[in-house]
Amino acid sequence: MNQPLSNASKSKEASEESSKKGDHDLVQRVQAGDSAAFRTLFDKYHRRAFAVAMGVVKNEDDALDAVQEAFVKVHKNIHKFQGSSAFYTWLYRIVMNVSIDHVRRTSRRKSLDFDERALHEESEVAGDGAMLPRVTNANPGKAALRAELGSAIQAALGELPEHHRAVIVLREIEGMSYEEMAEALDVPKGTIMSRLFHARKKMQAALAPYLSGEAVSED
Amino acid sequence: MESPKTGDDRLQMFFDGELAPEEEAAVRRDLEGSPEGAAQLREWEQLREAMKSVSTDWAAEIDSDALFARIESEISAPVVPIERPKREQPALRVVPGGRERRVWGGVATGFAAAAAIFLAVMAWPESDLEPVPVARGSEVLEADFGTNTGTIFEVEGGAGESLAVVWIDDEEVGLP
Repeated sequence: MNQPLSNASKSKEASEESSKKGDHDLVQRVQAGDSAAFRTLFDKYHRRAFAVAMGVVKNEDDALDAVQEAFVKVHKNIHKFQGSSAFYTWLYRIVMNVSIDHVRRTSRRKSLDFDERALHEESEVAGDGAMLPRVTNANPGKAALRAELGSAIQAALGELPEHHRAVIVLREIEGMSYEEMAEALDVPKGTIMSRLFHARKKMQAALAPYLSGEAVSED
Repeated sequence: MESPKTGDDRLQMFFDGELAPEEEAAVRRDLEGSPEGAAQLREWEQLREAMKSVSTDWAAEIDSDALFARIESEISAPVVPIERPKREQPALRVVPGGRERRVWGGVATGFAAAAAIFLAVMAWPESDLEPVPVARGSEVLEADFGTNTGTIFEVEGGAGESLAVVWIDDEEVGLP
């Protein structure tokens, strides 16, 4: 069972504070024209930004385009960043907005049929209802199963409304708090909670063959 | 003041570590007698693990240097003014002596206007109709009509319609 981390969260908070301060210094250096500082910020966040974008857009190319556009926007607008919020909150807001714009622009949903078919095929393969433990533990077929799961998750995310997708991606992939998500998405905390609950419910339904609800054995 | 939390809200907040310690302890106690709640938490946990593991795979595939190079080239690219498509120009060409003809055109317009006023005044006593409006002419374009030149005037007609009047000069152009 998940253990809310009261003690661990304190050390996490401390490290986040120091990370925020480091980011703030880097931002100031970028504002002063230091391109190496910009590269450091990029190195620190681009993978996470990519993962967030991948949760929203449909494929890698679009996610790369979204990350590129987001960092270009960061660079162009960094003089406007006052530091009242964390840099990463600001960055993820940009990544999220750019990704959602991307989806809207390319919402021909060319790959929908393919993804849906893939999801159904995977459901049949994973009919034993206990695929996830096998996927997330060391296993000879791990890579292939993870690829399958990845496709299933992307297809399930693709079925969510944008605002649900944004919340679940920021929470589950980025581990952002309700407060941070509310700031990044510019909606009240209560809305975040409600969206997250519904997004989880839909994801659970879509990934039902993968989620057994049973305890994962440690063997 | 916060609104009261439903059971789902509390469970979700517990799962996300968003509860105060005392509330967290209370939920933990409640869960001991709730297999449904415990199963829900496990499903959320599995969903989280799945999304995290998959996102790690996604991010591992990036060529960071290539991506940064793309960003750098976009940042350093000079701002190129947007080229507007050239509008098709009417086949006009500069006519030698155009200024003089414009002057004469103006004079002709004056005569035309004066004639219109004169006609309107002459027609006034015999007619119960509304007075004929004064035709107003204005030069709108000077065009080349082949070997001859001319001037196009826009004139307002009696019914308020816009009429184009062409004044063709006798003078030939392009001749020495």
